[in-house]
Formats: sequence, C-alpha cells, structure tokens
Amino acid sequence: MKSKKIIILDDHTLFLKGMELILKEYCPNCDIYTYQSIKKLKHDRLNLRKFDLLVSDIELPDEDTFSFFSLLKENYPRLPILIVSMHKKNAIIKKCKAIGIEGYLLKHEDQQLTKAITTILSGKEYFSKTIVDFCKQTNNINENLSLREEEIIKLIAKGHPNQKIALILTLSVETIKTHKRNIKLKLNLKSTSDIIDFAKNNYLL
Amino acid sequence: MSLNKYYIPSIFLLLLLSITNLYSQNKKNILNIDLLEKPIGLDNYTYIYSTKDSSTNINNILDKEFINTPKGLHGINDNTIYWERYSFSNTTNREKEYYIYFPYAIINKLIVFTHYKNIIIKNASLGMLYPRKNKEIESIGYPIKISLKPGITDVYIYIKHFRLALRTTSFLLTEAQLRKSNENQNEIIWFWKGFYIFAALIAIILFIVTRRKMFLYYFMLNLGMGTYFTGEIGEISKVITNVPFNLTANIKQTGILLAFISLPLLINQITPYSKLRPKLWKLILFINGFIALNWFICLFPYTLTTNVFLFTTYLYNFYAPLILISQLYLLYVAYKAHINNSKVLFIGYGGYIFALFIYGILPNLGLLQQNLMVYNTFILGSLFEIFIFMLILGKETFSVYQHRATLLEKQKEHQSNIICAIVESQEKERNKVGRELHDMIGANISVIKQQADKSNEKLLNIIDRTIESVRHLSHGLVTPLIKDDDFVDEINELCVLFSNIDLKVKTHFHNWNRIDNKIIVTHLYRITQELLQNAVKHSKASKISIQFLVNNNGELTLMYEDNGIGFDYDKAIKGDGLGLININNRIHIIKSKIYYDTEKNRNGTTVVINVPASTICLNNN
Repeated sequence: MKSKKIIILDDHTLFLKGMELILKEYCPNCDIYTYQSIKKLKHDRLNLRKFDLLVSDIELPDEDTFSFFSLLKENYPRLPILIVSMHKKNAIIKKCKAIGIEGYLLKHEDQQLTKAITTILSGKEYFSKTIVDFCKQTNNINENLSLREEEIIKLIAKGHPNQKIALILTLSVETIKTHKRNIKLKLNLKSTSDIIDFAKNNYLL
Repeated sequence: MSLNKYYIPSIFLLLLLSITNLYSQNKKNILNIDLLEKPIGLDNYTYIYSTKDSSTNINNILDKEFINTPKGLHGINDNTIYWERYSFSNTTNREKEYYIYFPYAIINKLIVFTHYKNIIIKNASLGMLYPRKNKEIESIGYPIKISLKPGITDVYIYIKHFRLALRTTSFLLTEAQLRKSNENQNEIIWFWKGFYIFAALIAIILFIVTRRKMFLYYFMLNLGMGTYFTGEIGEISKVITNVPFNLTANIKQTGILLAFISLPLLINQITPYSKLRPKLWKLILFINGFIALNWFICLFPYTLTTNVFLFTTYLYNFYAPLILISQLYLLYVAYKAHINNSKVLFIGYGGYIFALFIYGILPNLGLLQQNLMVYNTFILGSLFEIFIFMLILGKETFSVYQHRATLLEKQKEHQSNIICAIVESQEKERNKVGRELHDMIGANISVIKQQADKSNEKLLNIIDRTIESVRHLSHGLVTPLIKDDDFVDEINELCVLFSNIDLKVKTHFHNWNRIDNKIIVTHLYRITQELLQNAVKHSKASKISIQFLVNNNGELTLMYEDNGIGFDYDKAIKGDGLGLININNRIHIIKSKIYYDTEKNRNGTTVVINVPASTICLNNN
C-alpha cells in the first residue's frame, strides 16, 4: 500500500497506541499522527489538505467533536473521516451521516479496521454491519396500530359498546376509552362510526 | 384597611349621644306621689345636709339647713354623713307603700325615717353591715320599703358612707313597678346572657377548630360576662325571688373574675403588647391574682358579714376600672409601636371605655343624669366594641386558614422538592457510574481486545460479549443527550435493546414534533425504561407496544401495553422494587397522571400516562 498520512484522534492513550500499532502493521510506510484532543491537533497547525484520513473517536472530554467534524467537512471536504466509537446509538450515527462522515466502526470491531480504511481510501463509505443492522432495527420498530388497537377496532366494528369491549379484553372501560381516543387521533377519525368505516375498509370482518 | 371609614363616624355618634344627654336636666321640688305612673328618678326631689356628726338622732337635724341639690348627692367630700330629705305629699287618704331603690348603693349604713304629723318614725334600716354585728341592718342596696300614710310630708334618710363617690341615682317605685322593672331588667339581662352565651359558643368552636389561644380567651371573656349577668338578677329580685344575696354576689364575682383575667390575655393575644410595658403587665396580672384571691375568700358565706365584703366592694370599684383603663393605655402604646390589630382594637375598645365612662362614671359624679340615652350610649359602645372584637377575630380566623393553606402548600412543595432531589441525585449517580463504565471499562476492554491474541477466538468472543453488556449497562444508566427529534431514536434504541427473539417491542409516535421539552422527555425516557425493565423481569410478555401520542391540544399520552401476566399493583408498590415508586415520583415531578390497568394473572398490562399541555409548556428550560 502506498504511503498515506493518517491522523488518529482518541483521548484514550492505550487505545490510541493500539490503533497506531495496528495501522503500522497494516501500512508500514504510512505517516501516523496521534492526538489526544482537538485542542492539541489545532495547536500543531497541520496542513490538513495533505492528509488522507482522520480516524477519530466521537466523544472527547470537554470538546465538541461534531462541530469540529462539520468544520473539517466544510474546509477540507476531501479528507475522509472514520469514526471508531463505543457508541451504538442511532442518533449519533444519524448525525455522523448528516455531516457526511465516511465511516463508522465500533471500538471492539478492530478486525474490520483495515477493511474500513481500505474502503474509505478508495472513496467509498464504510459502516460496520452491526451499525447498519442496528439502524435498520430501530427504524423498523415503529408500528402504526398496536395489536390491541386493532382488536379494539374490530370489536367496535362489531357494534360492541365500551363496557363489552372492556369485558372481552379484560381491560377497564377507562383504558378502552383512551384507546378509542388514541385510535381516532392516529387515524384522524372524528367519530366511532368513522372507526367502523375504517374497519370495514381495512379488515376482513 | 377599610375599617377606617367606620371608626370616625362611630366615635362621633357616641360623642353626639353623650352631648345630648347634658341638656336633659331640669328642676322640680315637690313630688305628688299620686301621679306616679312610672319609676321616678328622685334626684330632683332630694335635699341634702352633710355633716361629720354620726349621731342618728333625727331631732338634732330637723332644724338644719338642707341644700337643694338638683344634681343629686355629690361625691367625695370630707363629711362622711349625709342626711337626705325627700319631700313627698300623699294627697290620697290611703296609706301607700313605695320602694326607694339605690341601684348601686355602696353605703355603710342607711336609716329611713318618715315624718308623720310631727312624729318621726324610724321606717327601715340597711347598709353594708357596718358595724357588722348590728342586727338592725337588714339588707344592702335593696329597695328600701317606705310606707307613706296620708299626711306624711317628708322622708329622711340617714346615709353613712366611707369616703366613696356615692351613686345617687335613686328611684321611687310601687311594688307592681318594682316587679315590672325586674321583668324588664331580666329581659335585658337575658338578652345579654343569650348574647354572651352565643358568642362564647362561637368562640369555643373556633378554638376547637383553629387551636388558637385567642378564641379560648374570648370564650372565657364571654363566659365571664354571661356569668356576671346571670348574677345580676339578685339586686331587685331579692324582694321577689328570694335568691340569697351571697349566691348572686358570688356568681357575679366569678363572672367578673373570669372576664378580668381573660380580657388582658385576649387583647395581648390579638395585639401582643405585654412586652412593651412589662411592669404594667405584671401589675395587671398581680391585681387579677388579688381579685382571684378575694373571690376565693368571698366563697365563704361568713365573709358577707365582715369587712371583707366591704373591701371587695372597694376592690371592684377601684381596681377593676384600673384594669379596664390600663388596657386602653396599653393598646395606645401598642398602636404607637405599630403592633398588629392595635389601631382597630384601640378605637373599638376606646369607644367602649368612653361609653362606660358616660354610663358608669359621669352620673356617679353628678355630672350627668342617668337616662335611657345614657344607657343606649352604653349599649352602642358595647356593641361597637364587640363588633370590633368579632371583626378582628374573624380576620384572625381567616388568617389561620390562610396560614394553614400556605403551610400545606409549602409542605407539598417541600415534598416535591425532595422527590425531585431523589430523582435528580439518582440520575446523577447513574450517569456517573454509566459514564465510568462506558468510558473507562468499555474502552479498556477494547484495548484488551486489540492486544489479545487474534487466534484465540474464544477469548475474543468473550471480550465482544463483555463489551456488548457493558454498552447495554451504560446505555441504561446514562441519560441520553436528548435533543429535539432524537427522542424518537432514543426510545427506539431502548426498545431494540429490550427486544429479542421472545419479546417484540414496538413503538409509535404521533404528532411527536410538538414536544421539545427536554425535562419532560428525559423523564418519559426513564419511565419507558422502567416499564420495559419491569416487563422483562416480571411480565413474561412476548409483545409490548409503546406509543407516544400528542393530541391537537398539545396533551401527551404515553400508552404502554403488553400481553404479559399482569401484576397486583398494590402488592408491587409495597414490595421491595423501586421501579414503580420511581415511575410515580417522576410522574409527580412532571405533574402528570398515570393509570395502571392491570391485575394479577390477567391477560396483559396497560399503563396510560397523561401529561397535560401546561406542564409541557411550563417546564421548558
């Protein structure tokens, strides 16, 4: 592999050293700069245009990494960033993607580190499989009507009053009322007869 | 205070009444007793001769010069003996019996003679039993019975007093009039008795309800006054009712003692003035103690025939006014020192003392004739004072309730603060542990993995699993940095964490973008977490649905449902688990309502949380 200039940013010394070792092993010719904080990195006034990759943690003590990354992305759009973080959080990943960060790995996925770097250096994005799956899972978790709500809609369509529905589902009338209110709110229906219409259109009764 | 409007007119009214009294005096000389139709004030028919000679021999004074003093007897002078002459003329040819009545006689010795056809007959004798063993003396202050035969021209009365201002108002009454007057008096007395009993009842009820001492004192004051008026039946009715004099005297004394003890205490409760003039305050208490001692001594019937009774009379005539007037002075001092209620009370009480002065003192000094107007002034003054007392007590009662309400509110607030503090410190501690776990242990294990032998797959597996569980743990502990739309993600992630092959967690958000209150959202996150933890631990549910619905009014409903085995809420809340308490505390903080629809061994649990729109707007920092 050609010689590359890579910056590693992580507040955790041991992890930093470990990363450095792995990268050295992977690319002996590479120039590797290690920093523990954004402050120090800024202090050195490196010409970031000459660098090929920034590998960074997402959380550094007392520093706002996201605004730093956004700044980098604005000024040096050709410097790819790979996040190696402990965080498995949809919100964080979403934010990274929004900024335009090219890769995201979890810290214990160091086996994938070389693969990720290769992919990113070749101009593509790399998000670890765990991350991709996780995002999918969280995004798929939303449902429109709960099973109980569907049951209630069907029971309403059968013409049962609240008390009867409560009896059938072994719920209190108060709960049924709340459900009914929620169903109307969610489906943007005005009245109980609207619910019946909805049930006829959407379920086989 | 709006009361200001009423002081001045009331005072003026009292003044006006008293001034009009001064013009109602006139002169008359001979009393034609046949014209008697109503009780006649005898002051205008009284002729007086004062001397130092205590001889009761009437022949010695027949030639003396009597002075016609239309205003009646004068008070203090050097002479201790008065001879009085009433000029009557019985124009009928029948004998007539009348009663001369001295309402407030403080007379040591009194003998009545009638002048009939140049013969002077000793008619009756009475007085303060002085000298005490004198059997001639029949009664004290009671109506003196005189029989006026046709031809009687004069009635002489020998009065020995003891350097006292003599109350000179006397009346001439027939027996029928005496009875009627007694009835009238009883009516008035019953009015006052009823009034004081009523006031005492109200006061004791207020005391029971509010537990404020002032009501107890007010109760005692009214009880005392009521008791005093109960004793009042004695004076005239001795003739009619045969109630023993000592009994009525004791009853009256008891009433006065109660009233005198409670009056300063009551005023001091309403307007704390005792510290302004501590010496005077002690003096008042001392005098009250003295009156109490005297009261005790007077309980023994023997004292009625000794000087003790005379002394008692002095005590009530000198020290009682001292107590009454010292209250006025103390109130004035309190008013100057701007102590609570003192202004109103000073004016109210001042009005009363003024009325009392007109009613009780001026006529005694011969400066004012006793008549209905004077009596009305007194009644008005009393009512004015009572009105002021009632007003202040009412105000104080109200303030007690207000105080209680604020105290309750403070208590509630304090409770809320404690709950907040508990939840907050819990949050802090959790964050600390979570962060430490995540940043230190998690990162270190990552390093361990870096350094580990890559061929040892078993070890690597364990490390991966450890990292995953550390992440889960810390995820549960650290408050998510919830911002705007992140909440949906955070909740979804949370649900993903709790999901597995056996448990499907689903979420739904409706209209969520309306909520951007960080505090509420954090609490909701924790509540959701707590609900999920409970579900995983106890419910055996395979499906959970969590919904966050915001309706068009901005109210939020969190709807949690599972298909688990349900639980007994009452048992669970008493159990060891803090989960439910935690949830309820947070619900309390965000001023929301939570409703658990569940039972043990029932199909499923539903939890509904309603967050009012007001909280969502208010707490937004």
